[in-house]
Parts: sequence; structure tokens; C-alpha cells
Amino acid sequence: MIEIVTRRRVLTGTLALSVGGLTTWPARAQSLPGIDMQNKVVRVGAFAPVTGPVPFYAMINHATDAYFKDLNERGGIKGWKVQYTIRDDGYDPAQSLAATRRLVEDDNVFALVASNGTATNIAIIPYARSKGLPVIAPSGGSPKIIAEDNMFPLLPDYALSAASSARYAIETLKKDKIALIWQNDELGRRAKLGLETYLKSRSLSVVSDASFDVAMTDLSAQVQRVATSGAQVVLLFGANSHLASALRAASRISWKGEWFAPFFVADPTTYELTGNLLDGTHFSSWLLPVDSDRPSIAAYRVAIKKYYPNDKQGVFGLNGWSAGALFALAFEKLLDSGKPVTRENMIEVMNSLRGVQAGAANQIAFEKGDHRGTRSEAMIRAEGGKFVLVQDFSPYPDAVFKAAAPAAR
Amino acid sequence: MSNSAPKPTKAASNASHRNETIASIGTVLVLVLLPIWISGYMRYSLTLMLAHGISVLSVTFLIRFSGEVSIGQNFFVATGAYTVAILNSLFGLPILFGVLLAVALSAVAGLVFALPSRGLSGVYLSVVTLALGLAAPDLLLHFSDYTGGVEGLQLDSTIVASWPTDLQQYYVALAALVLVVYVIHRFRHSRIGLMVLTTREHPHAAASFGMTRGTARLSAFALSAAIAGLGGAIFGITTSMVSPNSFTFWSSVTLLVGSVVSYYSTRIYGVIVAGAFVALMPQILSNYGQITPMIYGAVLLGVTLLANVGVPAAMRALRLRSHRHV
Amino acid sequence: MLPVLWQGMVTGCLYALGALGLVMIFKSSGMVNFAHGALAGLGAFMVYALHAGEAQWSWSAAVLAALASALVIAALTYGAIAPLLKRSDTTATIGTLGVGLIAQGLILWNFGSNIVRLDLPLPPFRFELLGMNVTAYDLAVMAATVLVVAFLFLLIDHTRLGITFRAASTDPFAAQVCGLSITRVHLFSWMVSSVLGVIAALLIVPTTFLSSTTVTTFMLQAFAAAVIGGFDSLPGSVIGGILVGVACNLFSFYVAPELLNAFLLAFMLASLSLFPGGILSKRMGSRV
Repeated sequence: MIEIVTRRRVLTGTLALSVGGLTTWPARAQSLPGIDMQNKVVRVGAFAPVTGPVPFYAMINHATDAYFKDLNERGGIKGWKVQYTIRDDGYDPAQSLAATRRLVEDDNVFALVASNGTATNIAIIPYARSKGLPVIAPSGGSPKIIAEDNMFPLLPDYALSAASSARYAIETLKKDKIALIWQNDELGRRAKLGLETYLKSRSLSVVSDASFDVAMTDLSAQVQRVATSGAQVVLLFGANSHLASALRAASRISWKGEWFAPFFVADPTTYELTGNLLDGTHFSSWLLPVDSDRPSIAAYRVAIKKYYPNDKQGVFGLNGWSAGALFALAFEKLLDSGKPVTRENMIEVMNSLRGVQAGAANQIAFEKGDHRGTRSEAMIRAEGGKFVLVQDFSPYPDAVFKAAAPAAR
Repeated sequence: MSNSAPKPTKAASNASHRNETIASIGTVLVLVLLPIWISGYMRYSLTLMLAHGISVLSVTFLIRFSGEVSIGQNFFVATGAYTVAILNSLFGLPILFGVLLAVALSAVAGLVFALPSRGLSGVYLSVVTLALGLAAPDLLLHFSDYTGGVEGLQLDSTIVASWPTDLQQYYVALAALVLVVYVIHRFRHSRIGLMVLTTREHPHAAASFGMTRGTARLSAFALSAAIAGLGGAIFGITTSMVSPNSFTFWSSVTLLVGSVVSYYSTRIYGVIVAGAFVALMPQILSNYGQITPMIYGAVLLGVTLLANVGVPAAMRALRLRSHRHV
Repeated sequence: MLPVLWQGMVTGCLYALGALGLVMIFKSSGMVNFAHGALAGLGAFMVYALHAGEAQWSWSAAVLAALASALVIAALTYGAIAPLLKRSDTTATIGTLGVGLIAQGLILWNFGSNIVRLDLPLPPFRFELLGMNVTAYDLAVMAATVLVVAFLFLLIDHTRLGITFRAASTDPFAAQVCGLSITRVHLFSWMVSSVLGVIAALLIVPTTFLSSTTVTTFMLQAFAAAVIGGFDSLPGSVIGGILVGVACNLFSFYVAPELLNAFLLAFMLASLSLFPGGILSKRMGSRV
């Protein structure tokens, strides 16, 4: 009897102690969330797929971190330092929500900058909305993200990129038999929609289309399908390993055609996978090439080598760098306005941006009701190991831009 | 298998039984009272822990009652989660009703899978469950008109409008977990449960009682799938969204790791340990990033070795030292 | 149709090589090595690091070094798993899942998450035959498979160790009574399996590229091949591999490539209901 009572006591005692330990939950009631006025520190954060199926996407956030570190070294934003926290979500939307809650409630962030992924960013929409949390440059391309009042994506709707690519193929390369190989998720589906809409506006149609799962690494079946359809041009919307596999498959069956791929494939790492099979591939991109001589891009090359020497320089990095630049530019504007540094005012400032340059991005504009930050894209071609600008920034084809406009809320 | 352990006396076994009951009740009490002190992000994590605990229980149940390892339980977890999500977001049905349907549908799915595979066992069955686990995200992505594709679906988790939602989510998860643990406990001691267990070790004896191997297999799988479906439904309610990335084959492996870590316990405190491991470890490990699989693997291997080799060896050594021979 | 079949056969040979490794271990110890893919990937990464990295070793030297390390790792893995094997096959199988995760973690830790290219040093040679494109790579895969299978059968049928292996896999108890060392047999099969795994990985990687998950993902189909051919039959692995390769390629081309895993599931269930235990399974029915 005594033994049991003692054990029960011990059990309840331990439980009470651990509960007691957990009760020291600080109730943070800050009037200005994420802002430390005394020390002039603004806290921002993001979730990133450090573990999981696409860990190389986290390079985006490394670059954002490098941007802020570099910025802090040079004096910050009018004396304000930026503190950036990255939390792992394993590319799992449920974890992204948990990470966001942690960032907001635990780490007390002012805004999210360069939060990573499409489905992951969509998952946090209700929570971010409830907190009025500004989400600056989430790297996810979906109309749902664009439609949110507090989300400001730089990443364009892939429908627009696909339309731009098709326009270049038809008008500049004079080839109109276009096929599509697309990733079986939002990225690919938007590309398909954009391509079909654009071709329809020119009384054409897609010659053949084949989809693949993002985890697939062998696209020979898809390439075989396209090759037997009489296509002259192939738009492939997927990652660089997919393009590499497709190019090799095409070379194996000796099929030649014009290849187009999304902007994030215009990266030196793609050359490592494809060898010189990549030469001649086109990319419709909202970012300037990584070897461009724009000062901000040159600064990126230096900073990333300093802070993340293991990361390869490329498009993912430029994406994150531009996100950091966008935040810094908007925050500076907010400070200049003299208004209180609140989340609402930050959102107002974001909505007032017109035709700004942020990092490697061009002509960024946000307005209330239309948060499509990117309004134009340039055409890049892979040549001899480098990426060359072959057509300057041109606005998206009208037909598709209007069709893809966010629905009125 | 050598067995030099002395048979426990009736009083001793009653006492240990009582201790386990007290520990179980104590755990439940603590869990019921916890939200008074815990809020926000921590509360969400605890709710996730409860939800994952239920899913782990489906793996544990299958191992305990059929001896088979399934690495495809994510299929049934997804069935449960998506049933609730689709009914709620596409048809506007209330959550609790969706949960009931989710459990039923998952049980049916379990039966549908178990039927053609009932003759398989061991490695053959494991590999087929592997294929099942791999097929789950494919199918979810394919029927994107209903499942929302890679973005998934969002749900409205509020049952009672006036209460804070996260509190409701917590108690719904807790109630579900306690219910499942209780049901398994009763099943274990019921006639059918005992027959299913007997089929594991003595199939012919069980057959003489009317429980064929096939029936035992079907029951075990259907129940395990139902539990997984409940886990999925609760998970969907907790996260207020479902997407294929949460239900990959690797999540099945994680559930198995949780099951091993809890040493296949079906008691509530064991299940909490398992759920905590599955839900909270990734958050603790998030600072270590790339070595996470290594830690998971080391824990899995370590716990397996400890439980199967380390602990029995230590027990033997202890017994020899205290000179308690049969 | 013919090119699709041909590509299917080539891929099928790769599955067969992967399956052979799995079946070796199953025959001798009755357990499944779920770490096969990750350990093979580790070996391939070693070749990459030595050959394409700073060391710049010749391809053959890098491969030999990787094979030697694979043997050592196999021995270590067996050492860790052996005590579990004494308890039960299921427990040991779960243990290998842990080993697989550790191997994957090692790859991530040393090589990060990048996808890299690791080609075979083959001449860019191709010719056309009846409408099919045959490249040097295709021929290399076929040749490697034939050589490996021939070598394996020679090893198992004509060496002492091979005969011991056959004895132990047919009846472990009787073999022990005859004085054969079961541990040595297990070690032998694990080592041969790891070599087979690395060879398979090196042949697979030119098409799938090399990352911490590509080889594991590929090996999952090798599991299907082994199951369909019969997990306790080495010739069954070859047949199972080719069947899975051809069937999957046909399905990908004519139906829907994104539903490949669901197809594999259906294919396995169908095959196992027609041939329980695999097509060339020796053990059918149960002992009463």
C-alpha cells in the first residue's frame, strides 16, 4: 500500500513540477510587434524547407539572410538593424503553420520575408490574415497568394511566364507547334492554363502535353510522347533535374527542338546536370541573370560567398536577395514617412510601391487589389555555360494578364 | 527462448495493473488540465502531439494484433484527413460528422486493401504496404478536383462558435485519443480481441474457435485503418488544412519510429511519448537541419537495440545478481 | 512500341540488379534490408567525391575505393543488426530502416542536398536498330547485368562459400548442425549485397542523377521486382526486374506517368494473387 501511495505521489509530483515549469509562459504584450524602438531592431522571419524533399530551396532564405547581414554591416536601414530568423518546415504545410505561429508568438516577428513554398504559404493564409501579418516576397506562385491583402509576392503567376515564353517562340523564333511538359502541381497547372489561354488568343492550341510528379527523375516517357506529336517547341515547367532528364532523353532519341523552362532553372547548377545540352534553352525570367553587372547583383555575389560559401550562386539566391531588398526599401519608406512602425502601416507602404528595382527584380509595383509585384519579364538564353539576356523586360501578354487578374474581393 | 524469470504472484500482477491504471488516469488528468497554463504555439504543438499519437497507435495496433509491419499507414491517415476536409470545405458538413464518416471510410479502405493481400505476410506484405504508402500522394494529386491538388484544402475547425478554436481543437484531439486507447483496451480483453491475438501465435488453435487467419487479418487491418483514419481526421482539424505533403511514405516511416520508440505501447502514457516524438522532435531538431535523418535513424536503431537486446540483457544480469532463480 | 519495350528492358535490368542485393540478404537471413538504397547511394556519393571532387581520382580507382568502403559498411551494419536478427526478422527489418535513415543523414551531412551528375565513363556511341535507339549506356547496363548474374551464379554454385550459402538458406538449422558458420554466411551475403547495391547505383545514377534520395526512390521499385519475382529466388529477381521495368514503362507511356506508384501497387497485388510468394518462389503452401 505504502509503495503505491509513494509512487502515486512521485508521479503527481513530477507532473506538477513539469507543468509548473511550463507555466512560465511569458505573456508578451508588446504594443509594436516585432519592433524594438530603443535598440532600433526590426525582427523578421521565414519558414524554409531545410529538411524534406527540396532542401536546396532553402538557398533562397540563405540569400535573404546574407542580404540582411550585409545590410547591417553597412549601417542597416537608417540605423535600424534587421534580425532574420529561419525556421524549418520540411516543406510540409502543417509544419509551416506551426513555424509561423512560433515566429509570431515566440520570436515576435514584425513580418515574414521570403517565406518559402507555394502550398506552404497558402497554408498560413488564415493565420496571417488573423494577425495582419505582412508577408513580403513569399516565394510561392499562386493566385491565392496574390489575392491576399497582406501578402506581396514577387514571384509571378507561372501562367504569365508560360504565355511570355510562347509569345517569344511564335514572334521571335517563328515556331508555333508548342508542346508542354508540366509538373503535376500548382506550378505546372498554372503554366498549362497560361499557355492554353495565350495560344487560344492567337487561334492556336497546345500540340501535346504530358505531366510528371515532382519526385520523378526520369522523364523519358514524357519526352517520347512529345517527340511523336510533331512539336517544334517544348515548354517544360519543373525543376532543373527534370529539364536535365528531359534534355538527355531527347538527345538519346535524337529529337531536336526549342526548349523553354521557368526562370529558376536558369542557374549554373543546371549546367552541371545537363552539360552543354542546355545550350540554346530559353528562360522567361523576372530576374536578371546572375552574372549581370547591376550593382545589387554584384553585391549578392560577394555577400553570398562571405556568408554562405557552400551555396552555389544562382537564381534561388537572387530570388532571396531581391526579397530582402524589397523589405529594406519598403521599411525605409515607412521610416521616412514618420508614421508609427506598425504592421498596418507597412502594408500601406507596400501598396504604394510603383516601378521600383529590388535586387535583381525590375519594375515592381503593388496596388491595393492587385499584388502581382512582377509585371514584366525578360528572355534569357543559355549559351556556352553562361546565361545571356536576349530580350529586355517586356510586359506580359495582355490577354493572359487580364485573364489571370485577381478576382475582386 | 530461455525463461528464467520467476512467475509473478497474483498480488504482484494486480499491483502492477493498478499502477498502470493510476499512471493512465494521472496522464489523462494532466492532459485535461494542461491548457489552463499552456496557450498559443505550445498548445498547438500539444494538439499535434495528440493527433500523431492516434496515428502511431494504428501502427502499434497492427503490430501487436497481427504481427505485421505496415509502412503504408499514411494512406489511411490521408483517407481520414481528406474525408473530413472534403466534406467540410466542399459540402459544408460539420466537423464531427465528418470525423465519424472518416473513421468509417478508412475502415472500409483498410478492408479493401486487406482483402487481396490477406494471404501475404512478412516481407511480401511489408513491400505491398510500401507501395500503398507511395501511391497515396500520387492519388491525392491526381484527383485534384476533389483534393485541391498540392495546395490541399482548408477546413473550418470551429464546432462551438463562442469558444476559442484552439481550445476546441485540443479537447477534440484529447477526447479522440482517450477514446481510442479505451477502445483498444476493451478490444484486447474482449473475446474477438483475444482470438485475433491467438491467431498470431497459434493459428490452428484460433481456427478451432472459429477465427480463421483471413478473418483475423481483415479485422486487424480494418481496425488499424480506422484508427489511422481517426488520427488523420484529428490531424486535419488541428492544422485546419490538409495537403499531400503531410501524407507521404516518409510520414509512415516516422509513425513506425514513434511506435518503436514507445515500445509498441497501447497505454496512454506510451502513446503520448510516441506522439511527442513524432510531433515535437522535428521542431526540436529544426535547428540541426540536415542531420535530422541521422538522428531519427540513430534513435530508431538505438531504441530497437536497447529494447530487444539491451534491456533483456540488463534484466538477466540483474536477476542473476539478486539470485532469484526459478 | 519497340523503343518503349527496349527502354523498359534496360530499366528492368537496373531493377533486377537492385533486387538481387535484397534477395541475397533475404535468402540467408530471412529479413529485408530497407537500408539497401541509402547505402548504395552512399557508395555512389563516395565515387562522386573521389572522382569529380577535389581528389580527382580515376573512375576505376574511385569505384574500387567505394566498393571497399561498402564492404566495411556492410560488415558494420550486419554487426549492428545481428543481435536483432536473433530475436526476430521483423525487428531486424525495422532496425535496417534506422540504418537507412542514418545513411541518408550521412549523405546530407557530407554532400548537402544538391543534385549532382555522375555519368559512366562511356564513349558517346549509339546506333539504330529496328527503330530503337541503342546507346552505349544501354549496352553497358545489359552487359553489367549479364556479367553480375553470371558471376553470382558461379559464386553460389561453384565456390565453397556459395555452397555454404545455399545450405544455410535452405535449412539454417541443419547447416548449423553440420558445423557451418551462420554468421559467416550472413556476412558473406551482406557484403555481396552491398557490392551489388553500389554497382546498381552507379548504373542508375546516369538517368536519375545523384542526390540523397534518388537511389532510395529507385530501389523502391527494386523491392517490387523482388516481390513479384519471388523474394527467395535469385533468378526470380531478374525476371521480376525485367517485368516491372517493361510494365512500368508501358504504363508510363500509354496511360499516366504520374500514377506509376498506384499502378505498381495494383500490379504487385495482382501478381501475388496469381503467384503467391512470387513467380519463381520455391516455398509454396505451409508446413502443417
